[in-house]
Amino acid sequence: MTGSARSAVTLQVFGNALHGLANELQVSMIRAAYSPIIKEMFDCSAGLISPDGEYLALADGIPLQLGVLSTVARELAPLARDLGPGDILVTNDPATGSPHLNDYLTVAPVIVDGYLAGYVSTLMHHADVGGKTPGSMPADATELFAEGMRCPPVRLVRAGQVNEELMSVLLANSRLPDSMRGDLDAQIAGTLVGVQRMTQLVRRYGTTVFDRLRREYLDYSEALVRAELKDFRPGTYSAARTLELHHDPASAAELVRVHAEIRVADDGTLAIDLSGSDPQIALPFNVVLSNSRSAALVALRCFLSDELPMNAGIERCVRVTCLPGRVTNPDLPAPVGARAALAALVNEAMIDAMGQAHGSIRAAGSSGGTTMPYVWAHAGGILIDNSTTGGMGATARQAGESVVDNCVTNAMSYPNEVLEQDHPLLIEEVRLRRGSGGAGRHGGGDGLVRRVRFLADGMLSLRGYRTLGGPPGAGGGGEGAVSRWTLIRDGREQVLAPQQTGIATLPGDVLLIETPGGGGFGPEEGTSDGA
Amino acid sequence: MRNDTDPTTERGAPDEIVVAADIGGTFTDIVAVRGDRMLVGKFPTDYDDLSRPVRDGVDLARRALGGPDARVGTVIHATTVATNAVLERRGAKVGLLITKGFADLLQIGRLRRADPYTLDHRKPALLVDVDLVAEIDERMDASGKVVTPLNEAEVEEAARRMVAARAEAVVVGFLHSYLDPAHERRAAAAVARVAPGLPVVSSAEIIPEAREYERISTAVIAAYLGPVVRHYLRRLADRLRDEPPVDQLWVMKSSGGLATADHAITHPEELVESGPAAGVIAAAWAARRAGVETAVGFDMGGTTTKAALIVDGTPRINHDYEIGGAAHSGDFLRKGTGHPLRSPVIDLAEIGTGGGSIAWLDATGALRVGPRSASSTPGPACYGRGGDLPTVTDADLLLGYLDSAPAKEAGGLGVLHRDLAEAALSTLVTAGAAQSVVHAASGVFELAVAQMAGAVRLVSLAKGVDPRELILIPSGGAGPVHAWAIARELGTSTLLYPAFPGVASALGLLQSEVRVDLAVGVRARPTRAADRDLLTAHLTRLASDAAGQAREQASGREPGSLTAQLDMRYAGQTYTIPVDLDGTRLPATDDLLTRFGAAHRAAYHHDTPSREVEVTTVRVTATAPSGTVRTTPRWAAVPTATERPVVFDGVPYRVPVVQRADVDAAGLTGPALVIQVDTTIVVPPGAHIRAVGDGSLLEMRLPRTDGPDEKETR
Repeated sequence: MTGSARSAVTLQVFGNALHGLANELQVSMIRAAYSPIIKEMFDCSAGLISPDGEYLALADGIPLQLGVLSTVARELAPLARDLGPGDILVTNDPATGSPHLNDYLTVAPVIVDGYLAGYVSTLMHHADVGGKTPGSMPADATELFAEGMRCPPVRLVRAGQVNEELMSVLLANSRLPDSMRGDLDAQIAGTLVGVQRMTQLVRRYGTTVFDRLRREYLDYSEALVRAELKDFRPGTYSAARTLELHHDPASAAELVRVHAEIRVADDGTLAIDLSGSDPQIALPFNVVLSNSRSAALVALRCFLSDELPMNAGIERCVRVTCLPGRVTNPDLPAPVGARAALAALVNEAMIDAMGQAHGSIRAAGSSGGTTMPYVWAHAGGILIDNSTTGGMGATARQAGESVVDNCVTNAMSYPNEVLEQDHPLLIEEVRLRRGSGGAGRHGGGDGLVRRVRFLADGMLSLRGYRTLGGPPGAGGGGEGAVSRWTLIRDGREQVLAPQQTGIATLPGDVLLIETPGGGGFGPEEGTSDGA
Repeated sequence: MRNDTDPTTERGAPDEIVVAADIGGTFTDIVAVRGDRMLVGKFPTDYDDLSRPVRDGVDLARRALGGPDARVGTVIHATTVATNAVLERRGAKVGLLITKGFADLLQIGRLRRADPYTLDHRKPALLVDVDLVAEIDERMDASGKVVTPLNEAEVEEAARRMVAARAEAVVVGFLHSYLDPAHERRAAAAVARVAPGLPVVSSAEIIPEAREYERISTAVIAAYLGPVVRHYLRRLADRLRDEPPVDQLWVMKSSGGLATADHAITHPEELVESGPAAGVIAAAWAARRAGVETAVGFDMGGTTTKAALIVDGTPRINHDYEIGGAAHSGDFLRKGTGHPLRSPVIDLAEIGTGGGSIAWLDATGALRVGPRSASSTPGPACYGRGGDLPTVTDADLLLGYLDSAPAKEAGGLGVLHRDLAEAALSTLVTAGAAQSVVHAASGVFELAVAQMAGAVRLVSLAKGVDPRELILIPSGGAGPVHAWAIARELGTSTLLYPAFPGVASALGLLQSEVRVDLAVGVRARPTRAADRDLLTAHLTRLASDAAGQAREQASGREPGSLTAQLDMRYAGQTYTIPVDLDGTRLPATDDLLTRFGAAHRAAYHHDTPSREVEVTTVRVTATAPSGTVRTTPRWAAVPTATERPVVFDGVPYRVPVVQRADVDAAGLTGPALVIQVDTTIVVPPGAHIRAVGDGSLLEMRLPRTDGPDEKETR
């Protein structure tokens, strides 16, 4: 083997060891976690961050959390300098980049013989962090304070020991203190293990070689990405998407628009500006900028080949900006709890614009798969059911897949048997919503019908959208069917607003959820191609 | 084909002949032992009748090893019939009876995508027939209470429709059946009344565990494979009953344990990785014997190449497998490309490159190898059986790694035809992809090596294990021919060669034990007396059942080991941790909780002694000796020239040909070819190969090829 071939192998070994470590960390958090949103839906992420705040490796986790860990690590770096071995900072503060108050991040430095090798960082969605309603994501919040307790970066763990006084403050502000304690324990243990493993890795290579390899590895990754960016045509492209704001069925919906402008430079790098989006709103759909970065990284990743490592190599090639005071970069204390819907639309607008720039067959028609959770609080607990997703948009290459998570959330569904073990309800029906995909040369994927019968008193909140317009088609394809939320009591149907909250449910009530189909691609021909 | 050796017997019945048969995509490998004698052979796999080469092997073994009264008592068998049925979608037409409201369960899946970063996601094609999914009015709740009674008339009606639509198997999958299988059982009985003889699989009988998608998917796999496996094993059993009959037939399961053919017929889902498992067992055995910490078993067959990570002599077992999807090697976070299978499977990665892989030119004129294979019929061009497309084996022959002389004749292959290989490879020269036939052969060899190295990377690099720090254990007839180049590609410096790498899977069969795994789902708290009684009752019953089944499957031999595990978790968690018991006795509560706490710490680095603990599954495993022999092999001399022209990296050499038996502890330095009846070990220039341990294994070290190691401080 030649010298350069050998060094390419060295970098691969190095990169895979980092990636394997990030995945190990994430798996250990998932396995040890308590709340269903982690244990069944994998709503958490783990990453290794360089001392410069760039991703060395990111676990195969939730894409919407992609840009968050490195942002937070960069924000916390000045504080991290004062940390010692076994110390962990935690925060859920959107001011430091946390997407919403439910997401607690840990950042722990990896210091080997005085050398700062980087940071281990994790993010976990905690089921309840206080605030106005169970689950901490009230759809009618007008400011951040209604969404729970805000925790600026604090040292929750000192030399491996949990600060129990601080912990008691966090737990006292949750409606599910036991579950939160279990999840935080899993997150802390995962972080400490990550630090230990990364320390071993640094020692194995020695600090000098590690330092050189981590730079070479990111440069090499960047070169791989840049080679593929040549497929984007220089120029300026833009796309917009609209979300309806509607929490009272008696009143009309308001509309809020996100706008992505993408400038492709001669070297293929992308500058994305979201400043054309609407001003921030006094409702919890605002998206913090770290989350818009996630959306951009996910979108770009969809246009690159699978082999590229998931690290700063991609991060370096895309820049995301937005003027303050927009829904895509709100001034705090704006409410941000239910940002996933708008973040998904930001991602979709970016995919749309990138597709215009790319122009090859990989350009997507539309992405209709959306997660629309509902939250149901009852005497015995709080259910956050994320199993309600829609159909994917079709692409120039093929029809859209039915009922699958989009590339923004990618959580796993809650198995119905486990869900019924944990909560007093019966899942009466889970079915493809046939015919809901948009028409086209390639049809959009179908959405879902889900019928849930509550067996106890409870309080229901919805986080749906796309009730006014379905996922748009592309290249002349049709729109997917709109979503619908219905409460059935004693046989009488009552249509709910997609973001309605505080709906009191009685035993025997049925919630009928119909999610949107994906958009179609291309004009429909005389006969469809089986899509 | 015979290698009539004189090995030392450790144990075994001296008069009985045991035949191990591994049916691969290209060859059927046979290893037969009788007392202290062993016979090794390879037959071309016969796709018209897979059982024929097995019977031929049995007859040859009796003639070669036996006297007039000799009888073949046992045939042990590894098969790829199950996995091929899935890959080629040749399984049964399966109908599904499912709880009302859930007809689309399998199409919906768990929503998560293995690769979130693609706009062109596809779910795997279903193994049930979507037109044959029938909803049945019935329902139990999460406590096992009946919410809606079973409508048997509806079951009968659905069964009639399925018969009319020519369903070949039916699955009954009802919600919460793991708590109480009564509805599934009654529905199965109703199907049997309407359609006697139609195979029915009940999901709770296959795995009594919660999570409807995974449980019903596993049941569907069992039903899909049932008729194929049954037809195949019955045909084989029939052939083995021909005069003079063989007493018993064992089959290798994906877990690396043996089962009787009757058991395998009722649990075909346990066979999906039968063939590869045997090869890994052999590699693990070699690793244990050499005291190697981290190794990768690398098995190159005619059609595919497999790799498995072996740590401390033990292969990894994956309880959460997927079939029919992309190679992900059990990666927890990359689920979603195949069909979930909840059955213990040895963890391995597989890619579609092997000796029979065909070389071709793509639209841009670039050379490609595989995944199309010439299989065994017509086989590589050099076999002279009508194949005219160039394959990896043809390249190996032209490069001098294989011998065209009669050594192989005994293997049933006939002479390898150099002229035919040349003619096939020359098409690549004519098309402008190479300057000469040797140049073309080198290109095919290098490309195949690079692809096969990928399989090793999947089980090492991708799990953060540095391939430069592990030991490669090659097997498969072509494995030792390519292993040196694959090791070089990966930066691996040490290789370990088992006694008969060319028939390692068949040898692995002889090194395996009968194994019975039984499980039952519960929800018990060890701190409650009533729950402890329940656990004890389950343990007692499962132990007795497993021991009985093992004894029965091992023809009355007493079980060698009987062990139990409890899957445990803190109340409120979902994922469980297996806690080993001493034998099958339930320990005192404090002891059990201490063990669980320790296991939880080991797995997740923390525990919470104040929390309630639950048991969710009781597992018992019984093993029983298969009674087969374990020998220290010797190698018969293979007639061959003492020197051969061989090309390494485009440079021609004349290299010595050394008999395997002649490689001693002092060893020799390459270039050389070490020849034995089942394979050729290619030793490149500068490499050193020597016998280690008791002499049954060879260790090869490759020369360092370039500058300073990247690691400064080790």
